[in-house]
Amino acid sequence: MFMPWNDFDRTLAVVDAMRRRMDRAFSDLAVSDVTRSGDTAQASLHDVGTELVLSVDVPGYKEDDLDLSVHRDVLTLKGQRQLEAPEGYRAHRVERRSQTFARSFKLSAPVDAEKTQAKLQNGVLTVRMTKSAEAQPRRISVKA
Amino acid sequence: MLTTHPNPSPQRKDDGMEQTRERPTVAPLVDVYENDSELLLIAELAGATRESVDLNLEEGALTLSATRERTVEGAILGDEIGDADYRRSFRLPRGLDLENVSAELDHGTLRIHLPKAKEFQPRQIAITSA
Repeated sequence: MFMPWNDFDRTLAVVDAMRRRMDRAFSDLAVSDVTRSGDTAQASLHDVGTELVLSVDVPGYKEDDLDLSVHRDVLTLKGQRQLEAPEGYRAHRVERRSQTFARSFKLSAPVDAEKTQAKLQNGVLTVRMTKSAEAQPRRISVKA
Repeated sequence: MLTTHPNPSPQRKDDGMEQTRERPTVAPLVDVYENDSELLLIAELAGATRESVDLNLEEGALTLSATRERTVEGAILGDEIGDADYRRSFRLPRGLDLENVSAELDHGTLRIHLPKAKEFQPRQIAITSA
């Protein structure tokens, strides 16, 4: 997200430490992760002006395995999937696991829950949220 | 989607060379199952499209690769995903019918069916009393 920056000055070092803290804040996408392990349900959040778009990796999850709710600026996604060996097969190697997760994301702006759309494609859930009217971007003219 | 190489081509040999691109290569999670008629590999490939999946059978090994591209534009507020290439290779046992390998992608999960050759499939022998 940011270019690396060498501490060639004390002042800059302070700024750099702040930047690092901000970087961490950005990378901590979720405000709460319940029973989430490792790489489960990795997400990314994009601001596309009038909309916020959240993408979450949920390979193997069906529509019915996911539960999504939005309240003002917090979005919560819960998922549960039960994996069993295909019938009549014996297992040589099992890396995929049954999972339960719940993640809450603090959005950078309040959104209109009515206009929120979610789509599951190729194992990725994409949630498009329209920012509520007061959070829509506006042009402010700069005066001298 | 499925490419088989009857003759090994040196260009594609996995010799441990490093990637020149910055995109990370990720090993997808894979389950391996077997029944009397086939080996079944199930791989998790979130974000990979059907067109991007490539299965390569060569020198008794199966290499699975796929690409995921970020489709969302705009400013990144947080990112745990990123673009990535999926890649994983498996040494295959003998006795598979590699002409008839099939695969399907559904909900980000790829199932690869590797049928056993007829002569390697178990046969029920009836025992008759004298």
